[in-house]
Amino acid sequence: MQTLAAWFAPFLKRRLSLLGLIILGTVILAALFAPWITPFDPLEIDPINRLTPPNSVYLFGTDHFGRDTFSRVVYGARLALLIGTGVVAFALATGVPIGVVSALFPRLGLVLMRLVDLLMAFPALLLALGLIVILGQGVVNAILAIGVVYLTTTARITYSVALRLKAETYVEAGASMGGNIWWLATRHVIPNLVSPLLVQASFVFAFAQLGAASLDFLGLGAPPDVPSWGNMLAESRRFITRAPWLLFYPGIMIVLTAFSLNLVGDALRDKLDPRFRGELAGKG
Amino acid sequence: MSGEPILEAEGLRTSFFVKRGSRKFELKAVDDVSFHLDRGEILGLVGETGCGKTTVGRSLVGLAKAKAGTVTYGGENILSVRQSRLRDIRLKIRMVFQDPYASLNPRRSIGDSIAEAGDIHNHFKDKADRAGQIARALENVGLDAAYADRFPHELSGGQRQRVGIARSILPEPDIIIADEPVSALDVSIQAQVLNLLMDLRKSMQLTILFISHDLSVVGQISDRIAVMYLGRIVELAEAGELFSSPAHPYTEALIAAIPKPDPSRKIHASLARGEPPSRLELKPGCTYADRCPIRQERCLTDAPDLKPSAGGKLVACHFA
Amino acid sequence: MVLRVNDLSVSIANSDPPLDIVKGVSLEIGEGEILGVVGESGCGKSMTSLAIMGLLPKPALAQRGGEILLEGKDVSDLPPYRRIEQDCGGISMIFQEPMTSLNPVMRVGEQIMEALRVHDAGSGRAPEARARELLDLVHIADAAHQLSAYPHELSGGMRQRIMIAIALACNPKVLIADEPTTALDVTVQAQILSLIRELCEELSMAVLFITHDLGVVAQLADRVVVMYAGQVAETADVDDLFARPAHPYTHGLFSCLPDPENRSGYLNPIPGQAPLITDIGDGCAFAPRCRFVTAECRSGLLPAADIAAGHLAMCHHPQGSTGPNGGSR
Repeated sequence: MQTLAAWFAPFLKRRLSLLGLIILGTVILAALFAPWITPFDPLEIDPINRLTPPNSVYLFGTDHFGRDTFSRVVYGARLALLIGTGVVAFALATGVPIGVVSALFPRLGLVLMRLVDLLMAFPALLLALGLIVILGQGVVNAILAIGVVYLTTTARITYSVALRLKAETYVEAGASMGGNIWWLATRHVIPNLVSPLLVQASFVFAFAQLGAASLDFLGLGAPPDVPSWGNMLAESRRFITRAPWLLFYPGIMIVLTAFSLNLVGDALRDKLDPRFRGELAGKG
Repeated sequence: MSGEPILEAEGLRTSFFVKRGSRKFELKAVDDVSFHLDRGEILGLVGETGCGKTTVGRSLVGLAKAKAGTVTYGGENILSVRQSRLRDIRLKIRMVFQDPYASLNPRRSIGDSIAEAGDIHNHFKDKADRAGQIARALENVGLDAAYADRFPHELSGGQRQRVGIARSILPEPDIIIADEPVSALDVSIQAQVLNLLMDLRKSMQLTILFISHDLSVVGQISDRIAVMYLGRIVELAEAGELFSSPAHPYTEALIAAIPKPDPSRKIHASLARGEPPSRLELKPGCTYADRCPIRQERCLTDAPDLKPSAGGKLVACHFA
Repeated sequence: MVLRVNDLSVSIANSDPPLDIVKGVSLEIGEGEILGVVGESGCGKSMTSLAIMGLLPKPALAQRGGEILLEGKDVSDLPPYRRIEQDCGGISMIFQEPMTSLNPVMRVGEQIMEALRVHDAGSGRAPEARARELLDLVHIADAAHQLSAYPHELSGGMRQRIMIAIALACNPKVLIADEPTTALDVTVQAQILSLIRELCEELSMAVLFITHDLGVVAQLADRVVVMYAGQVAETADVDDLFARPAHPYTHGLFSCLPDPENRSGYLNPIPGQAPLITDIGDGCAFAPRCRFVTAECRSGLLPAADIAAGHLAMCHHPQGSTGPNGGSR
């Protein structure tokens, strides 16, 4: 029975990961408690106070409609987390089975992997745009579109790792004892996929932010009034010289969230590897 | 030590297909191999790299697909038996692998790895039964029951190999195919593990097919020895007989090439000339012909069969 | 003495107190002599050879103290290529796995000539001619054909011969061979061992041969150093070592060798296992496993017991009993 302290140990011992955890935690908390910590309604228009630089009332300043940037950034965290989680869930739910099946059933794998290659041949943004055109605009469709983009890399990574795992002696041992494909997949292949997939997940989460921001930037993701970091970046274009804070705050949030996710992913990966438990945990 | 035959391999052939450039070659890893295992004996299967000994072992546990031949066990040919029967057979014929570092899943506890066969076949009544059997298996291989909760990276090579053996005896099998079980271990640990195998053979009435390239080790532990060369058995004899009067020229060369721990007995030249030919393009006739010191015309065209010879041996040579 | 190593230690860098994986090793090899260094995995034999060659994995490990004297000159501070290129003839090394030591995408002839060119060791002649000469030395017939082959096209024995040819390119005075035959079949091993002995005599080299196989040591070595847990346990002439092993570890090693000609059933293993370097305390590293251990073994320095001329055992209780092939008590 591991205590809470033991669970957090890898984070505490590696300062960067702790930083990542703090940042991520802050973002999550901000998203959860948005209504209570924001001084203003993110949609409230106040033209008298438009384009105010950051001050004691408007912590991050206001935009061209007089909306409080701070409140919008905080609410934007909700969408960011929603999109990130959604894309990762979709990419894993589709990419991992494709990769595992392709590795364990080589003939089927040949076909599946060629299809994945086909998808990968499209530049990511174009692929997402194309899917949005088919599916229509909106947050859910944005998640699906970006999800499809990242299912390709997830499938590829899963495939190559699963192929390697299939050849491991301990998998052969399982087969020699009568373990069928299902047994080998669930007991040996998938558990050893967790590590590379965790790293992949944190990447995807981070890139999903950027992908969503790009779609929002082009006006194809979240509707323009819903506060999202991407939307905010898009709108800030016209005011870069006059009101740089409109660019800075949402931009820095995207960067920080992505960064913190990578750090946390690294620590989680080590935490789940039995070789890194005990005295060896936390060296680095 | 020997009882009646428990397993009989007849005409076993296993091939792999290799592409070199645009041509496809058939690599005859196992080429017409026949032998039997008597209950309770240790049969040593020895040969150098590429002789097919590991493939023979793998063919018996289903890790390599034999293309021809029969393996009779429990009255049926296990190479062509129904899937449902096969699962039971997999419990009775088990394998111990060579590399102690690669043969255990690093993410699973020792206990989970040992109990794997039992888990696959729903052999355990309940959690307590499972834990109890794991503990017993660990004790049987000389490890403390507390090791069940540890992970492979915490154990040394010798300990991991013991775990590999524990895994192969739970539930109790009839036959163990030991594929180079001590080759990756230091000499002093080797001795411990060999003693362990001999102990288990006695206490559990096991039959062991001991595969190795190390003739001294095989000689020490085996009752009978089969020498393989390029996919064929060239000699099969009682261990003592094999060393005191080797019949096949390759066996002689193999024995002569073993560096003995005695400075006064130096080996001067290898009795086997050159090196083994490519397995992809074997010439007709005896596979050993181009290295054999006593080869004659007939050897280049006529491949010798494994036939009984003096002293109860089986030899595949025209002039043994 | 062509090569003399005095009190060499290799430790984990920046460890305080120093964590030695090789401790106080001394050995010497004369011209035309083969010194066998034998021990099990983790005993430090490979690390010792890497230290002599200057190839310790930096920054993890470093030589700590001791001298490496090549023809009387301490080479400890020289980088590996300088140790190869000594005017008097340097140190050269061959490794266990020729497949990983050779460049897989380069023809072997090119690799031999690369060695010649890099160390400017053509000695006046064209590298091609010298390369053919080297192949002759290692008994590779059909030189032209073999030179144009890639490593994966050659057999294990051939690859090892190529490795030896490359090592001989600079006319070394000392050849270090780190388990060169361990990965080879036993029939091929016999050929390579006899080749090494022949080259040692013909070229008057000093050979440091590392192995875990006592049989190989008996075949090849003139003198032997037995190592355990990073230290020298025993040093002797090969005949003497096998006739009268003194150190209990050497004794234990001999007793657990399988001997197919004396098939007596069970073997006599050494109980327990070799210690981790962090677990080696004061005194003798073998104490926990030794049958003859007493209180004085567990702390303090070990004496170098003189068993006979040139035969030393680092032990308080050297045994005088018989070895694997007889000898008087």
